Amino acid sequence: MSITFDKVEHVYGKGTSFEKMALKNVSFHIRDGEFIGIIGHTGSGKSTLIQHMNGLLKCTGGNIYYDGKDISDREYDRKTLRQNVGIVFQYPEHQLFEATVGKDVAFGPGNLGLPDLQADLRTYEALKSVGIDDSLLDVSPFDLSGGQKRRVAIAGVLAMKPKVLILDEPAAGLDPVGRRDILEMIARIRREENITVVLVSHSMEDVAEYVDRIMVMNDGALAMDGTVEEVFARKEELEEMGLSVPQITLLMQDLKDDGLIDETGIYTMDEAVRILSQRLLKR
Amino acid sequence: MIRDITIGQYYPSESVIHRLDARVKFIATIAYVIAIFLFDTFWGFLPAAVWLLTIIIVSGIPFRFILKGLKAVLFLLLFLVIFNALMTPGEVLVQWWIFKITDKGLTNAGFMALRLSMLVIGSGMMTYTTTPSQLTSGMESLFKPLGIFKVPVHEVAMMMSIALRFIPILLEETDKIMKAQQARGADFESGNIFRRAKALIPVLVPLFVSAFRRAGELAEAMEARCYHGGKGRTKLHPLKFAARDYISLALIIGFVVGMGFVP
Repeated sequence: MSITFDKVEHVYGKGTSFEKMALKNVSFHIRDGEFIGIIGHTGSGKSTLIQHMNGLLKCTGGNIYYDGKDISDREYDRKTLRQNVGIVFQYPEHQLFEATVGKDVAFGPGNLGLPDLQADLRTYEALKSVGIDDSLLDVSPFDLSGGQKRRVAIAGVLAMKPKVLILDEPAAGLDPVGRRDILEMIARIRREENITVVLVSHSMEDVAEYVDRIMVMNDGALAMDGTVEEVFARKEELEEMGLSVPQITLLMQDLKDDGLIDETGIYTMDEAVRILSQRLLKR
Repeated sequence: MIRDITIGQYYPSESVIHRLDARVKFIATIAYVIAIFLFDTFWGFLPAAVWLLTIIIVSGIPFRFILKGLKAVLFLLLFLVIFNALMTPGEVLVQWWIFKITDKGLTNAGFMALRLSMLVIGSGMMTYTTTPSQLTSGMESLFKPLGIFKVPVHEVAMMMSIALRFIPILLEETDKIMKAQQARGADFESGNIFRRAKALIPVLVPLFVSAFRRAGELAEAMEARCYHGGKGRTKLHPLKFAARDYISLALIIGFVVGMGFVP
């Protein structure tokens, strides 16, 4: 599904003293199958933006199109939209409610009106792809560990079989291993299911490592939109917005400034390791 | 939707009313409430209405915001008006089938509606202009004498301020959980009342879980900072009467004494 935002605007609490412009003139186009990272300072409008992507919030100005169709149209099927665009909110484990893991994951498919057998099948599949063992199917989700809870909650959204998966800080509050596991899992699911993924993150490292294209939100506006290289090349501007470039990029830039390496624009650890080991071998 | 409920909210502003001592505002509210329940003549309501209007204008809170607060009691208001108009015996003005509207019923309904809306707006004015912490701190100090009768005044005030503090947090949490479940295809808007009630389970369970979690965390944080109840506890911002508070108090006393002369 391609997503187009055309001059989208959102104002909270219009006409009160609490009025706040959360989105200003945001326009972009997301093609099918892209892996997008959204970065931005706290309160820059990231969460508001993603809630527009499946119609949970309605824009107060502008238009949003899915596959060329305006979602604010009266005839537009919003239920199908929510099925096609899955959002995993921050700390998704806080939305678990059922008595067992299996039932909780089956909540989404059940809402779609699928027959039990098919809903069960999707539940198994979703739990498998997030790496939750079958033996946990009948366990209460409240008895799981934090990382497991988060996986189950993500499975709850995956079971809807969305074509666009949006994740708001999916790795927040996890330990380094848990972080990596969750992000690797998302990248793998994207490859296997061939879906569009939008990853909202505070971590420049995670974004540099996984996504193809970065959108930078600042004060409700889309400040930058481009490939990882394009965005992280504008270090000064990012720093003005309270953001940064990956730490490895800073380190490699220092090495370059000292004349130890020739390459610039290194954004991931893997790349840095490759370049540095080449250097060592040459010696 | 949920955010539309303005009653009990604080409306930040810099007016004199906002700066008044919470105790003065509390006493004023009580005097005002007594006044509107004591009188049932037009001349009795007039001073109270003028009093309320003055406060609204001085406080600088927009009328629209105040009217939104009334929306919460709209149904109660309609209910009271209809029942008062139909159920009061007296001289019949209009009759249709078994429904009779009497002259007395009509005046009763009118006064009832006036009384209730003035009560809601008046008590709303207090919460709009007073932060929850000032409010509880004011009540704690006003009710302190009850401590003689072993009423745990401080503890009750603390519970109240925590409860008030949690209202916006829980509202926000509800909003978040509802959105998360909607993203999983939950439908809160269609179906009959039973279906809708059932549809709320996926919201209520996580809400309770998070409320308990937050309560536990708060209790731990309070204990970590050596909270041990009201004994020997001092305040960062002790309530202190300023000139404006004495003047307001004098005005309130004048109002109360004046009520005695109203026919």
